Amino acid sequence: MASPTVTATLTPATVAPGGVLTLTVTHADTDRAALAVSITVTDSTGATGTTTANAVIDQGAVTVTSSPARAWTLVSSTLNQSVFTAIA
Amino acid sequence: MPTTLTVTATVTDAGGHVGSATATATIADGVPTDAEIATWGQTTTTVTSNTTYSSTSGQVVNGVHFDGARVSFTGTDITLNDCLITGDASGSALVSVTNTNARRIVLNRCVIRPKTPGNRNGIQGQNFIFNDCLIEEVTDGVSVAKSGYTAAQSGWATGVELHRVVIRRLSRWTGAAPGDVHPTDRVTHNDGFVQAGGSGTVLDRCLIDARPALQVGHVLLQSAAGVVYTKAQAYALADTAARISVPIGSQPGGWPYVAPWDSNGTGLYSRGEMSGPDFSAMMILSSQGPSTDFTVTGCEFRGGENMVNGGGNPWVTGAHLGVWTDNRCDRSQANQGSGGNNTNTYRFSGNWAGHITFPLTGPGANTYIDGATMTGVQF
Repeated sequence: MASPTVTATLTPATVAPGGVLTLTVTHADTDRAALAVSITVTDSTGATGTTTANAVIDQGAVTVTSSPARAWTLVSSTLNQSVFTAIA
Repeated sequence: MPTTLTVTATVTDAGGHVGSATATATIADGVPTDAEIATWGQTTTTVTSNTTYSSTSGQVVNGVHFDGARVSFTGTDITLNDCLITGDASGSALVSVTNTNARRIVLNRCVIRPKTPGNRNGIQGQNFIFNDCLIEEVTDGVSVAKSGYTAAQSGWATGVELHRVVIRRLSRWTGAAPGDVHPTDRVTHNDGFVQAGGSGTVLDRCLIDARPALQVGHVLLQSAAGVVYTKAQAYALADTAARISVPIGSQPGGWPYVAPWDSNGTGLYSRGEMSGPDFSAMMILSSQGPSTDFTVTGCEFRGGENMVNGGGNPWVTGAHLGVWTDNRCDRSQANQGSGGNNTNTYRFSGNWAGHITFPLTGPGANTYIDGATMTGVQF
């Protein structure tokens, strides 16, 4: 299995104390895949019922630390990108 | 000193494999630099009509260019980030927080600069917090006042905090008759910051330069040969260069109607040649009750006929003017006093001695920019 690849972007580059910092984390993994499972059941009369389930392989868990320490809040998230904010 | 903040983002997959990346940002300190200022007000959308924000649910507005439009607030907890506000052609302030329902209005990295020349202020009202903002080419930069004030409200909380705000290049206007541009005068009275009364205002690492805007309003410089300078040329003039106004009545409509500034005889821009009359970095008044309990720290002041003018805010029993520490100033006051380290910088002028924290030496000392100890501060 491969390790995730990660990039991080912090804006603005310069901020006053008390200002808002936005961290955008973009991440990918060659093993990552979205898996959709479809199950069909057929009874003795030939009637069928179908259900589906979705799963993500190697979705990845994102954590953030900073020095000096700040409280980072997740404000949005997709499969490949997570956005956090903190007060400078 | 600025602080570098380093962030590490770590991604761990289901197999325990780890990827990480770092990013850095600078947490600024001190008054803003020109390089920092140039990064503010980066807009992405444009609005061309006057806009009033009335939300009470934490509205955030990002990157709007209010092109020829004013902004006002009647709501609470509203934040504007990276906006450019240029106002309309009326005499109203570019930003208004005068509605008494407005609370906790926050502007971050915004630029307030008129599009249309005119005698108007940058922001007016109360209950606003600015972080990293530029206000320039207006008559008064920040005007703190309470709409509908009554004497029973004396001591009102201004709710005003300015953090790393730059106010500079005040626009001077002249009038054909008294009352045209000022209630009683033929020149505007320009204040970087003016407060009519109230308590608790914070000025934190602000830069307030009360010298006039060049090639804006009725200040138009020309060479000895009568060639009008560009704005860049005017601001690049040497300290010793002659500052020559276009002749009175020479411009379309007859402006300047009177001399837009009075030489103080030094011939030096750095010694207040263009700083008077009636310019101030801070004007402290008591027309809405006493102005008290300021926190003014880490600021830099330049210019002014008298730089900080509190003559209209005499001490009253029980009042304290607050904590003023680590502030610095230049020597470009039009009123040079005896010169050197005794120019007219802080003129509280109302028996405030013993009722203000204002060290001249030691920790938190207020000094000239070069560190020289100040004399002649008038409490």
